[in-house]
Amino acid sequence: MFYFLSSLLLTGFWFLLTDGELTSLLVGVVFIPMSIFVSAKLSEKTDSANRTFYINIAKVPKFIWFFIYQSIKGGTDTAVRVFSVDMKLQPEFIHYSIKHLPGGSPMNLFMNVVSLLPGSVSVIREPTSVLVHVLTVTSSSLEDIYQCELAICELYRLDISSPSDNPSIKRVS
Amino acid sequence: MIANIFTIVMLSLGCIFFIAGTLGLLRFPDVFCRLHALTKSDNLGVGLITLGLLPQVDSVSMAIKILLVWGLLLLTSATSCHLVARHERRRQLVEHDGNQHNKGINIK
Repeated sequence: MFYFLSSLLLTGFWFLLTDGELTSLLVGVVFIPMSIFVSAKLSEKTDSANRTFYINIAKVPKFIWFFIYQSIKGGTDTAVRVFSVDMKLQPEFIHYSIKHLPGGSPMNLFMNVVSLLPGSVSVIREPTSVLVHVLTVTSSSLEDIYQCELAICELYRLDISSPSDNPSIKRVS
Repeated sequence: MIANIFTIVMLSLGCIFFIAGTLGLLRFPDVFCRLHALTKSDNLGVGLITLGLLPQVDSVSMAIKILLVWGLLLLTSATSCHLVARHERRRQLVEHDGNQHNKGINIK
């Protein structure tokens, strides 16, 4: 199933990028299977838990809205700092403890989206936490990371009813 | 006319965010802070430029192609940011451990 869907998707991309040129398949016939092979090998390597996650299609628009809103907020926040004289930087590393997300694709998505939130960049993934670099530690930046975790849980239909504390952090030197 | 004005506004805003990203690269003090500037401002800049270009395309396939390029850029930017940050943090830890080890030898 994975190979079939990947072939379909990548052939679609190929035709889109080459404007439907049939002769371009002379090159595509080499590179499309090669991409599928690399993608399969990388998935084997990263998906150690061997668990498959499914996206809730109905929640995709809400997640896209969350993503666009956070991107605008993050980009504006950085631009304002860059153009201001004192920049108001107090860079620090914090350990953000994961409340609900399991490993695999939800965690990968979380790591990528955290880097687009205002003032935070994901650095290292640990079993139960994520090392995050922040420009300044504020309650709103932590709340944003927690909201991001919740948004991804919602997208993947993950259970968030388990008891969780408020967003907690540990500062790292 | 409205489409052209929209394009001009979006492209100009996009360029401002690109300038912010480049300026951040020069002004911010370390690798991690510079990554903030590169990921966030540049991604927003690319997004605005993509939005600005959409009214100018003459076919749906071209519009999808532009959106696809934007998506791939977002993905590569976030992933490469994470990889650079992880490498730099590990380098710092190795350097820190090396310094501690050297201090221990000097004390002995």
